[in-house]
Amino acid sequence: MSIIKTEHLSRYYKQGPVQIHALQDVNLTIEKGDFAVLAGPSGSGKTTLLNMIGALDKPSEGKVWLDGHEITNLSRRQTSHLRRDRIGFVFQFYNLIPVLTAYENAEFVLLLQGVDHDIRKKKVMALLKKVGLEGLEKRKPHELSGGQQQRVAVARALASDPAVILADEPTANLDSHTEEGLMDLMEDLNREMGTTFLFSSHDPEVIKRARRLIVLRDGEIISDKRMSPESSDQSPEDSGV
Amino acid sequence: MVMKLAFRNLRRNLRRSLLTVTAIALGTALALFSIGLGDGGHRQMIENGVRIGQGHLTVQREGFLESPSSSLYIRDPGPFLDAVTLSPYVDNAYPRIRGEGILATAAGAEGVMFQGIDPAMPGEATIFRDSLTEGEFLTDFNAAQVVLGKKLADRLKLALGKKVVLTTQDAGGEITSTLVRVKGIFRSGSGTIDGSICLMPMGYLQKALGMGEGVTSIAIYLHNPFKQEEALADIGRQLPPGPEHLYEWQTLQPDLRDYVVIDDAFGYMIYAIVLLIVAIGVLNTILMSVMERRREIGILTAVGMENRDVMKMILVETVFITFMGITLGVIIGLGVNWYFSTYGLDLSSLSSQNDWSLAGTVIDPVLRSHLRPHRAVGLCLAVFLLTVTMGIYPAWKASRILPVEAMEKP
Repeated sequence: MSIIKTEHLSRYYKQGPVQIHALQDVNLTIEKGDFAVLAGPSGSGKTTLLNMIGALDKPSEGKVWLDGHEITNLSRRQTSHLRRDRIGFVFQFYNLIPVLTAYENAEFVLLLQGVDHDIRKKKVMALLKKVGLEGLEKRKPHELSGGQQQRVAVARALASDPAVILADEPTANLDSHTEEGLMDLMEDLNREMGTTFLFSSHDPEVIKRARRLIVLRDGEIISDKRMSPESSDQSPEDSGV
Repeated sequence: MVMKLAFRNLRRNLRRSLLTVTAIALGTALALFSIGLGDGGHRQMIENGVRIGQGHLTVQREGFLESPSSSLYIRDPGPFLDAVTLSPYVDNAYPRIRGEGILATAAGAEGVMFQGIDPAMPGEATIFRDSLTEGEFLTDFNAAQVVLGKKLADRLKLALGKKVVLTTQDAGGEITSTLVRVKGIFRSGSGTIDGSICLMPMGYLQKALGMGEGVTSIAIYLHNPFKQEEALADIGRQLPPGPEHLYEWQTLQPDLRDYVVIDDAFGYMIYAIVLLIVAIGVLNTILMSVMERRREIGILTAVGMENRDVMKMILVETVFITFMGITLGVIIGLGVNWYFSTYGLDLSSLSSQNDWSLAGTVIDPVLRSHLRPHRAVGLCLAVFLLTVTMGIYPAWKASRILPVEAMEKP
């Protein structure tokens, strides 16, 4: 069952008289429970594609479906609700709210949804425990390490039980040890909770763990492979990245 | 959540928030002080004006205002005095004879405004009694006495006990002259008043001008000058019918009225400029804080916060800063007003000639603040509305931030 579908998706930017094609005619389907990675060099269109799927940006052409609903032409309010209820985001620079504690950051989306205090508390505490931040609930982002901040971001992304978690270069600012821990966490969540993950990354560690690898170059998909456990041992270069 | 974020944002940049609060507080306090001092000054002027002049309200014959002739007199003031003193708004009512004439001595002649008063009535002509510098005040209802200003006395080379002739029109429209002796000399602080007003006993003038028991006006003083409209309606209903009319001081002393109106208008302009500067400061602070938090606002909207909540958050910050500023400003403003209403602001050293006359009245060189509650509330509302209105633009701008653009770079 597909959770994300794009059809002839294109995104152009105007730079003076020149039109830059960030994304060209991308047709992609992500199945429920996928642990997929969008790979490719810088400027290949990974983040642009994630932004379209995450309703953070509108395509110049083409359509996007999320969980069976077309999201391309929603109003600003509708896209806010969609992002709040159906999509979890994990960004490269953590993007936590600096004035809120770890607990409050994880709780934020639930507050926007109007979830009752008791349910919120139970859920957030369980999520923070799951991402290994038990005891650090009251810390503000600047009091946490990069890895811990990214774990808060994961907890925040999971809080609303989204249809998909979109992670844009989530390990780019982490050391290898922290990166491994974070990827383990997301793999566990994918396995245990069935959460769909779609990453953008050119990090070999992330690509190695992908069960599906979609390679982009110059805004186009140049390969889309299901990875067997054996093939996941191959190097990114072997995968066409 | 919106409130929590707004308060935390303000606390995060505490110094900037406090500076903005201080700017609003100082602007509000300054405006409150100016209003208090301005209103206090006007109140003093009006009170002195009506004390020297003809009361908050005056009963007099129609046409007397345009041509103050002794022939336009109230023949029987009794029923009018009864009607006036029945009103709960009235503190005192004084029958008077007012007119224009010439005071002459061997040294010269001067045009004067003369007032015939009953010296036995408590509270009558206190402003002249209090400023008496030589001799005594009028002592007898029927005596041929005069109390005049120092400037007038000097011009006519008059001293205590000296004779002076008043020439004026009598009740029958004929020119008449009468001789009086100088009983006292006052120095009010106003060169205009000291050079043009003289007081005489009413009984003496009634006889000299052939008025019988008549007077030219009844000066009415109110318990609360701010209830003048109500008093006017109440007394107006009770006056006996006839050619006598009830006038407000604004009609009888248009110079004073115009001065207060113009000075108020000028004051409003100054307050508006001060408040506008404060409001622009608030706009700058909030706009700067929005621009600094562009990325953060992008994150909030990326994870699902609605634009209207972003707008609400910025407006809550503006409202809170404004509220704090106004509260602090009111505390400072009330404190300053209390000080200057108790101890006054002494400006006496600023006048080289020691002449404190303005708009036909005398002002007290020690200004006392008088802040009326509705003026303070009005100002606070104006500050609040102006600054919060200024917050709308940054709030709207914040709500238009697109997450994909705001989060491009850290």
